[in-house]
Amino acid sequence: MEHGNPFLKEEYCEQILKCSECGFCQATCPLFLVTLRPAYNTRGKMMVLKEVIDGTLALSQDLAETFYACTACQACTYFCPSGVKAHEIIEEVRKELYEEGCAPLSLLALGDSISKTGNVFGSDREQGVDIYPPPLRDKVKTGAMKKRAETLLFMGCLPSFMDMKIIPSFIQVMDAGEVDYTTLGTEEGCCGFPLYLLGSDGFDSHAKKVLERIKETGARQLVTPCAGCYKTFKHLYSEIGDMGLEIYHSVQHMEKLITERRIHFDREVAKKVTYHDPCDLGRACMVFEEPRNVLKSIPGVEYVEMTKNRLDARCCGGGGGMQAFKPDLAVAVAAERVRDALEVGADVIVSACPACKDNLRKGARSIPKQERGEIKIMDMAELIAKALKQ
Amino acid sequence: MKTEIKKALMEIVGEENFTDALIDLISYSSDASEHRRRPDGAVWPKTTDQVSEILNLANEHKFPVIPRGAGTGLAGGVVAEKGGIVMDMARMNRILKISIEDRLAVVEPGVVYDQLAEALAPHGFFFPPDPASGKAATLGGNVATNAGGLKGAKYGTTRDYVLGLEVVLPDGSVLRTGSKCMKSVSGFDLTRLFVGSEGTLGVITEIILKINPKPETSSACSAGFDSLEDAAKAISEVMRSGVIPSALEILDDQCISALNRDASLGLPEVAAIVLAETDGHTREETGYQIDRIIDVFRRNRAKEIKKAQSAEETEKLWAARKSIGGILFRMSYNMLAEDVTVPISKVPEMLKGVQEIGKRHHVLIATLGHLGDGNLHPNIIFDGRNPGERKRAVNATDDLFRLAIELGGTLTGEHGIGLAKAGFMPLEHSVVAIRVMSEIKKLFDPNNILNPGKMGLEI
Repeated sequence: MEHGNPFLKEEYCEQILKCSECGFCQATCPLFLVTLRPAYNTRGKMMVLKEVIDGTLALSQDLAETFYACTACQACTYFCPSGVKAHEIIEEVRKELYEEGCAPLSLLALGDSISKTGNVFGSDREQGVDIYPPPLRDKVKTGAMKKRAETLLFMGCLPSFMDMKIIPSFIQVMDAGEVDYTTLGTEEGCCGFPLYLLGSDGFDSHAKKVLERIKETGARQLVTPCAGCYKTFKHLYSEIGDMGLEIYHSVQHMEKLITERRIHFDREVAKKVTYHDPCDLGRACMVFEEPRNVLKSIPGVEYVEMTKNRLDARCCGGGGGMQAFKPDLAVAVAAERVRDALEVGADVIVSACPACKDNLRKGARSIPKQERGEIKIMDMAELIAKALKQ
Repeated sequence: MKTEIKKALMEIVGEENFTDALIDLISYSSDASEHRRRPDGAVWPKTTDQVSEILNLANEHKFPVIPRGAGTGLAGGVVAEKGGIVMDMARMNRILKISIEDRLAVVEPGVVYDQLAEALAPHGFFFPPDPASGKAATLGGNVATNAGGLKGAKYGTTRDYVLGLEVVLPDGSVLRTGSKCMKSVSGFDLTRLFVGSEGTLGVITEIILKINPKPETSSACSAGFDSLEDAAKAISEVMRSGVIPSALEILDDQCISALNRDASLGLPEVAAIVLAETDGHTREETGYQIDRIIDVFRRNRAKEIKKAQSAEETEKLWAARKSIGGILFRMSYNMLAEDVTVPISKVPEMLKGVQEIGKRHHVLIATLGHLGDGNLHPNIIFDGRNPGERKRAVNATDDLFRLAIELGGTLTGEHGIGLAKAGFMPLEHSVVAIRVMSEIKKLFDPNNILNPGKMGLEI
């Protein structure tokens, strides 16, 4: 039967109508679990869409909140008894809301930053390489950086502008493995994922430009420490055009360096470590074992698993544009994830996503000191760099 | 909603704990049933005092209040049929006390079933009545609907575990029922009156639950039957064999073919599959019991009998039962999940009758059920966008209810009356019984502000 809906694909309308409203998604939605507000859970969103499909309700500014109140973690999709691919549906609805001018201002501001400066923070492009190790930075500044190399390291906005440790550690590991790499330096811009999350039609044209720049390097593989960039290149760019190179997340590449004995450890990291699965790497790309293998190969590390892990992992709360749209809620979810780690006695939470790291740190800080103790949040590259043979 | 009432509600719970935003009204317009109506607002109380003040206000201004847990109910029990405000109890979600010594747990109504299960596990205890929605459903909702589950035959339902309650009455007064004692015959059993009252008499704000030591191990088996009748007879015989299984489930041929088609489980294409589980403290004990059950199955012409020898094999056996809910949901757009229940001896007749009703009305009925306690789940699957199909589904439901009552059964074993079966109350209950129920309702709630329109109480 045809539905009168103008913007949702037929298969999505079918799924929405098949949502039995059982409410089981409440058990998986990280936002619902901290707000206990049904309108923020997936069932609430599907109930709204049923009325939109019926024609009793039109999408509006009033309804936008429910669709942007989502970390895009995909947990509901995986555990939905009715087989509703809610995260895909929400992406589609966001596109329509954006087109209708109903997207929240806080997220539109992100889009503006990207179009003006090329990165989400609206920072000066030149500053993106300030965090590079001095020799590499000098190469970029003097134009001595290789134009072409086998591997392109794509750093991502957060590591470039907001994190002090990820890039230096990542480069340290790549140098130790004698990887033939280059970077886009001051030419590196946002991959465009935030535009996609916002529902912006500007994503395609932005992605095409980034793609051209990447191709100019002639690299055979792209390695990024950002789970969001990884998912974007791996899944979203394939719809834009042929990338012509292999995409790897840094944890995959670092695992390879370890198994091929290109990097060696001689220092112990005597810590109880747990791994937080970033949604964009885990549920979205099914990369679960490589990071765990890496951690278990580091001398001194006692690996502990959180109860909610892999497909069942709790989102850090920072995805889906939530850090811009509802920062307080993003942090509240992160605090719950940090508590998951405290429960299993971890000293360190390792993530493979700069956005998760940033948000988990905020979450940890929101927990009283006596409860959170000395727990640290680190990127995988930081932990590896600590154990590298000097 | 009148501005003065909205203002008064905000004063009680705080501005951030009241909403009349469209997205909230829509999300509170239904539960897991087919019923739907937007409330005028919703409140999130955090304390018994707030609940009391809200009810006081509602009683004075005569607007309906609909208490709600997780909204996983299947009978429309939390739909604002007559408007008013939804009182979402989910934020009163503290486990107040676990006393292994006294064998009890004291919880607020918003605690989720699984949350309590997790808290009890380290002590080696559990709260047995486990509804399929346990990972989302709240204990307040379980008590208000007297929820059941897979373990009913051996462990009973929620009502068997509620020792006492704190309830706010429609006039705002706070009532404490029962005690923390395992036994009490002091006064009327008001606790039981509130268990299963579907939020029509008062709002539950605290629950004292009896808890059980958790059996450490279990055994399981499955068997196929070429006729539904043989399966039903086998079940009936198991229940008088002296062994009480911790679960005894049936899946009919519609369920089996759906599972094979959509989940590739490779189940035998038989008329029915019966799954049994026994629990206890040693493998010898559970193994002995499961062997007795297998004997009964054999005597009733079972084939393809499988006995699980490990946790992994048990999981495999139960995969069919665990996946069936979702598989059925995906078959079409609408499903009436019924839960008629009959005396155990009438299970064979009821199963046969369900098949006949499906044929008579040309509707697809996939039946599963917790047969150890006579609780069937005939699920009528249809495309509600087609008015003819919807009508046939509704007519088939009518016949299911009639048959269950004819066999000395009941309209609902665990889902409740709510809106879905309100009109059928006279079918099961006498004029006298309904009069008494409606007088009880009037005694507690003379202004009919609490969850009006439910349970067929308005005569």
